[in-house]
Amino acid sequence: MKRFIVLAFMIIGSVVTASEVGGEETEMMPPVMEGKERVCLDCHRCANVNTNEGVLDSRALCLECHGKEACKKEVKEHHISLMLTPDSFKGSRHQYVACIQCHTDVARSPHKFETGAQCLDCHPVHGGETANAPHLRVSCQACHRKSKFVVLDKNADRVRLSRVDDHKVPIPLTDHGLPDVSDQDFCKRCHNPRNQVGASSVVLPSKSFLCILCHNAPLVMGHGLFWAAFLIFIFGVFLTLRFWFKGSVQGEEDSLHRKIALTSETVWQAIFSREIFSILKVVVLDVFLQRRILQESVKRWAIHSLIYLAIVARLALSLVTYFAYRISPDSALAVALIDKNSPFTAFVYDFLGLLILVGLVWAALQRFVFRPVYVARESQDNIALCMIGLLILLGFFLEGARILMTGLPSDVAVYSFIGYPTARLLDLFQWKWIGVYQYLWYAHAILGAALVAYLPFGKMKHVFNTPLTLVLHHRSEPSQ
Amino acid sequence: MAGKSERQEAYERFCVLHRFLHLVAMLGFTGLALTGFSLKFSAQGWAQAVVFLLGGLDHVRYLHRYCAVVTYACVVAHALWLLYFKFLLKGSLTGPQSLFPRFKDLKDLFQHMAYFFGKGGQPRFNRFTYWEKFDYLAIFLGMNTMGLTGVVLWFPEFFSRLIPGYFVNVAQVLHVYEAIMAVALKFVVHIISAHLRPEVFPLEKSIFNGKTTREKIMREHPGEWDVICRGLEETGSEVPSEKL
Amino acid sequence: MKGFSGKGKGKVPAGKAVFWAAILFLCLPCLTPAPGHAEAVNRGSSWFVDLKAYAEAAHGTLTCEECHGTMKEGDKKHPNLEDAAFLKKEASRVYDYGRCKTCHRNSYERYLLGEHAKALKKEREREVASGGPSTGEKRAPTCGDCHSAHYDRSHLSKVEIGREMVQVCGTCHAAQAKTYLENYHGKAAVNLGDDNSAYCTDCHGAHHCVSLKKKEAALRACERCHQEASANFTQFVIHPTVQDLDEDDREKRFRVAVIKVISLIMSILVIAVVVFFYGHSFLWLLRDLHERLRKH
Repeated sequence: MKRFIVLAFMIIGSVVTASEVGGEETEMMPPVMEGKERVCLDCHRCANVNTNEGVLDSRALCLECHGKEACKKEVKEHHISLMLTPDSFKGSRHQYVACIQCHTDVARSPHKFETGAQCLDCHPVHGGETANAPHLRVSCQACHRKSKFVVLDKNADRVRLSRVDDHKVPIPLTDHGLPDVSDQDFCKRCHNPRNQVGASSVVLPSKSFLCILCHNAPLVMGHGLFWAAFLIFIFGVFLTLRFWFKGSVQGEEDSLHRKIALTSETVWQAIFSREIFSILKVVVLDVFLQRRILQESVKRWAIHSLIYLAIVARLALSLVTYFAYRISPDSALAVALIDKNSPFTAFVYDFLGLLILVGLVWAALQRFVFRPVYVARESQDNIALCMIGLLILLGFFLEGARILMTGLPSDVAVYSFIGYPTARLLDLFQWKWIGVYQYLWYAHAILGAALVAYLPFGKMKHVFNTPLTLVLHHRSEPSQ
Repeated sequence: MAGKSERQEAYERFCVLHRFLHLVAMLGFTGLALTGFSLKFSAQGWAQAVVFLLGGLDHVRYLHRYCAVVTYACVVAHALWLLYFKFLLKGSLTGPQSLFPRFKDLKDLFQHMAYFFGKGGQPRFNRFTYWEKFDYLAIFLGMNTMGLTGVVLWFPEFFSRLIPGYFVNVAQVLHVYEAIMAVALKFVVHIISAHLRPEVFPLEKSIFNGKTTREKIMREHPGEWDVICRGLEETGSEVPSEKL
Repeated sequence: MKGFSGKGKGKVPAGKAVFWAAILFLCLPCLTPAPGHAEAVNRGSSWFVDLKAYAEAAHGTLTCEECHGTMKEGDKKHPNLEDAAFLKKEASRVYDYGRCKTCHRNSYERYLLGEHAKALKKEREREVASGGPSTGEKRAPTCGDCHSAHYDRSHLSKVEIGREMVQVCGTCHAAQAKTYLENYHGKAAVNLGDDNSAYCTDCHGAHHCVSLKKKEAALRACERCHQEASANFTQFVIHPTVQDLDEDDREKRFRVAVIKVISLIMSILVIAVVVFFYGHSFLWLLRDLHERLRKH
């Protein structure tokens, strides 16, 4: 950290007319004290920054120096201006906020800040699209300030604004205006092929809501490929329903309208009746806990549950994260769940992924090595196994690549007990991970989307069919 | 259960979709009323208590808009069903057994009020009485004005680019007054006609279980019963309650 | 025991008592008045200073002489019974508020640039011309008319200050305060304590009280929070009242008239419809009950 800071300090009463400071821009709140004699409390009153009046009074002191051209610092023979003008706050609501509300520890001698601007005193952390673990390590200013130069501070494990530009020339950081962060081009300040902060070289789309089966995901559909998968999924559901309604329903053979009416009538009557409680019991014991497989064989129950219950656990965790963030974005719980690198989240997700993988491997062994008589070996099953297996493996690769690429310190990364060794392994390859990462990501995303699209077509349809059959079976033979 | 005895023959009055839409709209409307009035009457203690219980003004605003979207989705779903009913099921949207307001409804109103004053008997109502049609139209049409004014209030910066800014004031006035009218009518008049009338006390169940009985149709909607007796063929596109 | 069966049959004393007790309990919140807003310690002018409140106030550490001097400088008498205006003077017109300048320079200088100072200047000129204090019209405010130097507390929260502000400004600008409280901004900011909404000074400036009659000033005020606002947006009327409005402000008068007329039509419509249907339902109930009773 460079410590050569020299402030040119101009005493009041000089010839400088700083009437343009907060002038036209804040005509409602004009400056009033220039060129006049002062007493102590004119400047040293602790203003109540809850009021507009107080904000202006508070800022007036700062602007005594920072409103004047002579306010600059010298860094390695470069002069950086520290002057603030109305333009510095153009397009920002912070022009009505006192300096010390953000720069909380600066109004003192020695005059340099240790803590920087405290955004989180007023603003919650992002959720969903932006607040996955890599972005939690990015300081607010690195995105929400106009300066394009960012740097990875390895000591603090944070990506923050750089005090020098690409040519190592020191730059002023006085522009307090807010850039438009909704434009994707804006993200390229970090996500470009030459970045040094460990960001992937292209901007990757946010996770889709379809990903919520396994990951904390925002309420958006996201990239076009997710839309395509979703539409194919819907189409598959439609085809299935059409197939079902080709048969007769309660004696009705022909009229589709009547069949739908009869079915919906039965469903409605079942929900709004005493029967609903026994139906719920079946859902919990048979659909959720798979009692009927356990009845057949513990081993089969184990294999199926390793995959199925782990996915359900992941889904539950994703939903809890979603609601925790919505209800209380500032809470430690929400932040810990969103942060993929937090000890609990890292460990649990790796653990659940491992369980799925173990289940899949065991299922594959049953199918291809041990081959007991009761295991059917249809290609449709194999497709499903392969897709899920590849998805998990890609997931672990991605995790390792992310840990490696973002330079996560090992004392943080070690909680990802699969991701971290993978990262160490991948490090041996010495590839340019910021360039490779995107391919892994898209492979994982495409495979996940394909899995969703495939669901209604292959035997994965059992995810919907089996619960339905179990409930219907219960209704027709309630004694069992 | 659909009775086996002659007297308690069951007929379907509302299909499952309509029961579902009524349930959702009921909940949405209540949510809208609760959140909306807690702002309108925010000077009162009870409104401040409601805001506090719902988690603050920001949450109340979000909930109000969420319920608005849900309730309007019901309107849209119903409109789509109307198209399905007309073009696929070849039903009549404006016939005597439909919910469309007809001249007979006005006559029924006068005759019914005469009955209140002891002069004359009850009118022979068709499938939907005039008050039921009013309840329906109040939501089906009313939600459109509420929705439009509400959306103007939701995005005043956007709309004031298209219309003068004081139209937002007008939208606010319309929104508030129509809300008061809707709530005053639904929470009292509709509750009386659906819960507190001696004939249906404690609850008019048919909107929830979809069923009505032959005896009930004969008594409350004799015009419809005539049609059922005459059979569907004669009247062509009429679709009164279907026998179960 | 026979509980509250809800079907109107049988004796249900215990159940009914519980029912009505519950209803009463639920009704109590409406029967209690709305919680008071932050108490504005606004004691009017008095010769007796409440020293306990004074000690808790912002000026509590100042001695009397620091602001009032000894009242006896240069052979002045206090109290001065020979003075023709003895006991007739208004405190806020007599005290030299230049003394506030000593500590509150920024506020003082800002006040001088605003509408209140202009009004005060005009009032003084009128008084000099007519030879006596002006009566009837609204008096222009000095520092002491809005702030209580003895009792105002410091470092209040934005909501507390905002609520007090509405009462203070509302003393002279009553119609504006009333319309503000009927507007969304007032309801959110004052009733519901949401300090994201706007209080008086958020739009009109603090001490530098400006009128927002000109579009540019209004747009700047709106843009402070509604950054997407356009020129049309300023046509939105926050204070739909014609009080204090210039005779020639045709546009605003027109808009206020439109709003008032539509409000009137709507209220008539709503009342008519509701009264009709309430009456209809009531008569229907009566007739149905009558028929039912006759059948037994």
